[in-house]
Amino acid sequence: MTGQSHNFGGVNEEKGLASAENGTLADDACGCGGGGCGCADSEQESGAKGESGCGCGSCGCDEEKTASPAPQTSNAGKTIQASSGKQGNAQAQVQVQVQVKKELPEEINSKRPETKMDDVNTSDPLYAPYHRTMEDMEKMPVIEKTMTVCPECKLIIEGTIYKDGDNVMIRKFCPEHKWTVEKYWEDYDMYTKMKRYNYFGRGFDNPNYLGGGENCPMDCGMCERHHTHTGLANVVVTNRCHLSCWYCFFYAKEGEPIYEPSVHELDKIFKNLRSAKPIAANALQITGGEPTMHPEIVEVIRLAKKAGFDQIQLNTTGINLGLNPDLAVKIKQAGSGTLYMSYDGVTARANPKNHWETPLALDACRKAKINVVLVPTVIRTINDHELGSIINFALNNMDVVRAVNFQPVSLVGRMPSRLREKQRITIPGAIKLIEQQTNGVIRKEHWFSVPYVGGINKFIEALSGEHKYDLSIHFACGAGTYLFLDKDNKVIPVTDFVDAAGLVELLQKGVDEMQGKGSVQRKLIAAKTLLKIPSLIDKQKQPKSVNFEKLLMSILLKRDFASMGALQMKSLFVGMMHFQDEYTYDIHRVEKCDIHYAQPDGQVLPFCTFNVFPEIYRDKIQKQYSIPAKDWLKVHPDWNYRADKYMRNVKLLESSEPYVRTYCKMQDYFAMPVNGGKPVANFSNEMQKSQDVIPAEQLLAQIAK
Amino acid sequence: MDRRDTKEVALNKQVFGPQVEASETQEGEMSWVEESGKLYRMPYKMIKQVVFSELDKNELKDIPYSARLQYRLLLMEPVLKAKVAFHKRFIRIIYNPTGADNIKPKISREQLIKFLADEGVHVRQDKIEERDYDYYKEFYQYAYFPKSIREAPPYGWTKEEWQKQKEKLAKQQYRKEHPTVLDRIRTALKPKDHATS
Repeated sequence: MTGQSHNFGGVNEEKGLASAENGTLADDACGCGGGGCGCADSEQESGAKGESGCGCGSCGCDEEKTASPAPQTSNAGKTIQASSGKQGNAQAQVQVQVQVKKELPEEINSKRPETKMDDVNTSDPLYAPYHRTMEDMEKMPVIEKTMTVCPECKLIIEGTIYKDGDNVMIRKFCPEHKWTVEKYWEDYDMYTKMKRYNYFGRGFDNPNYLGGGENCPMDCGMCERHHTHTGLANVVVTNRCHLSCWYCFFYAKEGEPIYEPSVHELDKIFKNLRSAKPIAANALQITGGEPTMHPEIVEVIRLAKKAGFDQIQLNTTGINLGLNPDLAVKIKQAGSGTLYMSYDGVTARANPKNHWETPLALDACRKAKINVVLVPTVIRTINDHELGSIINFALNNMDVVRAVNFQPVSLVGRMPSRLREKQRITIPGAIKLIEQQTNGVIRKEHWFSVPYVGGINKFIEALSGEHKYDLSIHFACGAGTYLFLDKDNKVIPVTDFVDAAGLVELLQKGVDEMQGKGSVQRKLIAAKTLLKIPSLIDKQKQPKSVNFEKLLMSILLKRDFASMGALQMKSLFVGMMHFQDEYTYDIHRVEKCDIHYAQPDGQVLPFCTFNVFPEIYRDKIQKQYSIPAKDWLKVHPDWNYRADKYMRNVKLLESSEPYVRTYCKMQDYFAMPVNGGKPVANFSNEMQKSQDVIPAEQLLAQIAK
Repeated sequence: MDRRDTKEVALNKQVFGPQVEASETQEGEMSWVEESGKLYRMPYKMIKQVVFSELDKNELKDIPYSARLQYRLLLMEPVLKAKVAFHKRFIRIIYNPTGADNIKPKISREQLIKFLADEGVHVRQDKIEERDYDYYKEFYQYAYFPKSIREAPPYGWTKEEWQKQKEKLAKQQYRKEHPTVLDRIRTALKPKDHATS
């Protein structure tokens, strides 16, 4: 799965602060930084802390130090041995294992980078809102009240959203755990602008979870209270993954149960999503783990297509497709036209996950005619300096990359407050950085919140009388804009030549006029409205290669998915989607969520309950339907946890032709005079490391060996 | 309490050792149901539903505390579903009871009552209703085949207008699914749309 979130497990707040004095977070916990082990909270009974990992078995740190590749000897088992009074033996075993481990290659991306936390300047405008006195905070203008949760005990409490200078903050008070203050939105003006487009959708006519949601979000499902239909349905097809990313919470570690539904079960889940009323889910994201590790992934996609999904995305690292281009062709033929590919930065440092394989994955998608959406998870201080470069990278590969969907990090799990302050970034924060890094070519006024599209959708419904896709999510959840690359390489955001605000106002006026009118009158009002649209498009500024008026008319008149696709093919969509965590939690956002997870027990859950409270939703239900590792091994005798893991040959990949072409010969579009003439921040072509460039076919053959 | 971040869950052996051992002799731990010749995993068959009613409102405190109690109940792996209704003063728990025909973690009613007592909610022995709960028929089937409980018209349409329009659309849909010869010719002559995704 793409790393939308960043799981800090159970790092205790107080301990985290204490560790800041020592310099690094790693000092205070087991050092694994893994998902959800809680190892800082409790002393490890094995007594081998720091030597053998925390021994929790869920964070992956045992894996680092364990020699035995055979899954039948579980690491977690050793911890249990130690805890039952065999400490001496356990330590001895661990020491032996550590020696042998040195010979094993390290799993990719499994080490958490160190972040120093002792240099937070509390008077810095970036951090100051966190460090005000309560008296000062209470003087700030209140924007609205909402319901939220205490990050510690999950008590539902009132949250106050207030203005602090340019920031929009949320503060909440738990009687037991006192105050929590967090950034909600890093630009007040944008907040008010985006809020204008907020509206309530219709939810489900046939909710499959009974109840009014009075204990929301603790009795979550698609209940009567939920306001938005499924916009994007996520279905997990496996929890196995070939990587072991340090921040990921979503893959089976060694010895953990395997969740991999059968083809029939997945088919049933697809049909369930398609039976929702009044609007069936039409976009599906097949996710994992790494979905291409499902042995029948092609059949799974074929069944999803058969179930009626128009858009099927594959959420993947792209590594398996890059190394196996034939699989990409099969996937496309089966019905998946979009690769939703994690891509955290252009440099290897910012994107150790799939930096080296991305050129191969892009080539495989070119060959298979699959569109690529790059999905960078944005973490302040980690990869926030590369946002402009990522857009530039997408522009360099616009023949295959259709969108960049930035995801400001969701800091799931408890973490030290100073680290949280340093790494927190919200949608406007990322948008401002993009503006800085692209010479102001993509400015903050170019962005619109997702529910803006609702204005267009309402008009289409009022005209046709048919239910249409309704993107009625909360305005603070997502934003986006379209970029066009003109013939002279000028980058033109759509709102540079379209009066977007005027357009939606015009359409809303049309909707209001149509109410209570007959079919013929509705058509006349629609015609009158559509005739005014050309006045909202500045044809002088419009890209020479695009007739936007025609594209827009096609969307409004044909009212189908293909027309929307035509717009996508001519542009680069740049989007933002900020998933919540316990600190920013706002129940108003959850009840409007349209990114849903379908579970094997038939339940459908919003993203931000599924992933923010995994202990009662995601992990709980998946565990019910998982197979213990031992049983998995019985059914798959040749399976081996270690063999599942991908080990890369960096030297070989860096000397390959696709790598050289992709990273050593990039254009800096923003450095061109038409785009301001200043290089995009942190742009540099990589040095070609070897004169002998290996052709792609030869590289794939060598890797296959 | 059984969570991903506790050591026990890493390997269930410590807590559920006997059951895990027992499963080694079985062909996997899942049971299955058959629907139209296809098999679907079913982790539970017959389990229990218990309702503790006429609870003391002071003990439930308020909706947020009731919701947190519900959260804490759900943290227990043998509890499949829980509902703590503050206003109606009841707690409904669907759980995997001791002695159920599966190897998933189990809990007894007494343990549930003790847990609630530890949380400050004391149940009345004469207000306990317990019954068998068919996981497949009552929960799973409903989640997959929910009933329509309302009908939202499209934007810009009142319910009455929508009723008329709906009939018209149904006719159009029927025609789409059962095209006449003329319709087929029209479709064949129509230029194809752009490739999408």
